Amino acid sequence: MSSLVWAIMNEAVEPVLEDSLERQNRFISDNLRRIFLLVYRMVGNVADAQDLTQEVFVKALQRRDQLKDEEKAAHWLSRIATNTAIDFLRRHGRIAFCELDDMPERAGRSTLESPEARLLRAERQAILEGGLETLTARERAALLLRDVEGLSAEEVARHLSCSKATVRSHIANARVKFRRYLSRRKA
Amino acid sequence: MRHPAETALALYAGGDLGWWTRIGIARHVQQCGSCRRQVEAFRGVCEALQAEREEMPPGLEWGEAAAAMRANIRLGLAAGECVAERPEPRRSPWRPALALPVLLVVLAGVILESLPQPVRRASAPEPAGVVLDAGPAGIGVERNGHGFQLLRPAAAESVEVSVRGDSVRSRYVDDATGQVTISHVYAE
Repeated sequence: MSSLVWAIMNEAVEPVLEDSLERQNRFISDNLRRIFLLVYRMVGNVADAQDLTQEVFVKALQRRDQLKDEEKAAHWLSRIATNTAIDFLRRHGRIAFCELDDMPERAGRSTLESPEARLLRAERQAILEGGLETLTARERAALLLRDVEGLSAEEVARHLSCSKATVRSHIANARVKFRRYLSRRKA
Repeated sequence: MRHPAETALALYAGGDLGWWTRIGIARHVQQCGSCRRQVEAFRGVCEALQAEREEMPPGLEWGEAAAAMRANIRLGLAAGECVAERPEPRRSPWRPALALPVLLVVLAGVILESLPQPVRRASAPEPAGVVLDAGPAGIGVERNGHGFQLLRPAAAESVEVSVRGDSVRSRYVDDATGQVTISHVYAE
């Protein structure tokens, strides 16, 4: 009798679980790269970015009921990512960009690129990371959300839970600092 | 000529100014070469950031890193489910009302237990009228005023007596010799 009940329950429950797992996996796949890059630009370190990205997804998926609307879910995820990275930077009070020489050389894309192209790319990234390093955590978050993620100032304000005027001030200061940094490098 | 603030030019370059201010700065920038160059430099900052949007950190093997992160996310979710708080069962409103009678019953039990009991008696359910005796003197069985008793050996120091269902058991240990005597009495 009990096996009959179990069989009936199995039939009813498994498709739901499978569907939920599939949705969860798709949600991770669709957003993992974007969130990792956002967090990486914020904290400037691959290992910390990986840990924080995982934390962001665990936090988000533990509240799966809020993930019904996929578009809203992506924004909501960016918001969690930004706040998690800002909290991390506050706790550690530092940004730790990896030295390029410390990065492990691996196969893959690097083998397809010419040494010159690889060098140029690495230099471009070093400049970008150096510029981001001159900003405060909130300035960095505002600049990345506005200029990299392409969110409007209103959306950035919602992400950072502050007023639009404050966000504009962060964005303006960040661009000014970044430009001064680039000018110094050229000089 | 009065120039706009550097921060205003930075916002103008990214299209982050209100309509009215934007028109004012646009008119100025058309006439002022210095401010125009600044705006172009700010646009360069925005473009540089956008160009790096999809760039992975140098040396990172994305496929490997993504697989590791996916596995850790699943692990984190599974661990979270293990330690998740279970919803508390609803408290019955009459539960406090039961507390006092239960407390009184427990108190009465403690008082009765503390009274001196020379002999413990346990009556077996089957057959009717048969009484099993267990006490410091020994164990035995009695029916209609007739029965027998297995007395405790004089040398026994350690005594264990237990009643279970329709049987009574005693275990005596002679401390001097270490001899153990176990007796069972069954009511049939």
